[in-house]
Amino acid sequence: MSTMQLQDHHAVVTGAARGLGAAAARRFVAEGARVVIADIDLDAAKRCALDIDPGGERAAAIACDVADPAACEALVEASEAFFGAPVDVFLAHAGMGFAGALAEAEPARVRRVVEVNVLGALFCARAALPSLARSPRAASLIFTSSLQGVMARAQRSVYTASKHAIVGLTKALALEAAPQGVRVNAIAPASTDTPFLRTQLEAAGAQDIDRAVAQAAAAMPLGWLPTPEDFADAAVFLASPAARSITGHNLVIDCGASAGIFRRG
Amino acid sequence: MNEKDIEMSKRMADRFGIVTAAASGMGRAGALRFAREGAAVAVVDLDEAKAREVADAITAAGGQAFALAGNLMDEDFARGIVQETRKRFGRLDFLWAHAGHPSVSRVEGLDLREFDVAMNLNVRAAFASAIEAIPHMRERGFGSVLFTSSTSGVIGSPFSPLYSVAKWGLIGLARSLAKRYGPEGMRFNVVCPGTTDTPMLDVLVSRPDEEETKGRNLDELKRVRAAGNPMGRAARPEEVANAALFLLSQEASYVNGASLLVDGGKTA
Repeated sequence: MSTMQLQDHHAVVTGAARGLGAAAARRFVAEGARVVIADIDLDAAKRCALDIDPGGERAAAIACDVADPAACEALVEASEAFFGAPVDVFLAHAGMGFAGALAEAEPARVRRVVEVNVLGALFCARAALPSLARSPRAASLIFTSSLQGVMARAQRSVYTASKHAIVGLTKALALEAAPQGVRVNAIAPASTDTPFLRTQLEAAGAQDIDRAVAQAAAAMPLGWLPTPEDFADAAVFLASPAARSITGHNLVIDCGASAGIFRRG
Repeated sequence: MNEKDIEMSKRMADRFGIVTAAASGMGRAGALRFAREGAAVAVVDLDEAKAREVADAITAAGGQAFALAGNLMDEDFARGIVQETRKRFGRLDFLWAHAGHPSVSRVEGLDLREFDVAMNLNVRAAFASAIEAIPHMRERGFGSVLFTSSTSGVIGSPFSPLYSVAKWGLIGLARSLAKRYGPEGMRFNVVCPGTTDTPMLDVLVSRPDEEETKGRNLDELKRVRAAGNPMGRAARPEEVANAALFLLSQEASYVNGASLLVDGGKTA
């Protein structure tokens, strides 16, 4: 009989209706957890929850705009009601991308990116920590940073700043929450190989998308881009007892991109 | 990633508008391109997830967009997209009423409800959105509307007479609206794609009620269809979007009631 790594765990994932968040939520359920799929888009969250568990037993959808502290508190409360227990794992994944020269960026849009990516993570943590502290298990708070949390890119100043902020937040909260037995870590993925990446490349002006993806992969030391499954693997690891002595850590999933200057061949 | 950040003046700077059927194919190519050229885009489609993906990609790239999902055969939705866009963006400058339907091959023994469907999505929906847009464009003293016809809108389609009815109709519509509303600064034009590499091509080369193509290999059918023009290939969605960009932008400020063929020379 295989042991599931998150047997009977109670997990909340924000930004879970699509992409990496959905991949992590799906894997949590596969590893034996019950999961709340939280997202600003309730319809998409419901579709995701239904897809993961048609029975509605293991996955539930809850609407949440993480930039609203009251919504984050309501999310934790509703999650505890669904689980009938405190939260054991909270993956604060909700975030948005943003690109362009800072000089041309509209302040209102900059503000929204920071609200969601930084304040959202903060407000989720603020709401979730008391519940995590009451967890009978080794509780785990996980943030989603990014390769842009350790390395910068031009045309990504707002996004880079927001993801660097997550790294600092992770360390500080790890120290703050350690006495309550809650571990706090971050996952920092590079751009992942998904259909959405292709749409993003096209939106950014790439003429030959296949070539653009191949170039991106070739620039990675390992020669490929990380996948949503790689992200899910990392999330499961950090959420599980296997990571019991890991806290304040930023787990970079970047195929070696941040290790240094790399030239193939 | 290959980023050639060449500074070009944006061809749709400060323009706010709608692209329908924007989750895939030509509509998607148009939405992404217009946004890159500075437009704020309402991404309208039946497929909510894919529409959001396009809108999210635009936003992540620094542009402005939101997704609106629904069925354009529903008159309230076809009209509503204009109101919703006006509400979200504060104004409406352009509309690419691109959504279409391949219709059926049949003529003899046709259930005339198929006629209604062909006209509903291809013409009626575009018409409904356009008439909603007119008052808003009048308010601003300018506006640009684009319909999508086809090579089957300038010649007779051997494959689907119903498709030709609809596609010819759109050209008539654009020309009439151009004449009536040109004095108020509005332009109505049409883009006429030939064989284009989009999901709909699968249906266009093999309509569900077509006997001759039943059971044949789809890739082969597409290859043959694509070879039937001077350039020997299908258009890429971007090549049609390029034409749409021109017609919707200020560069086409004197182009009104025109039908621009993007067909590799097929009907030349």
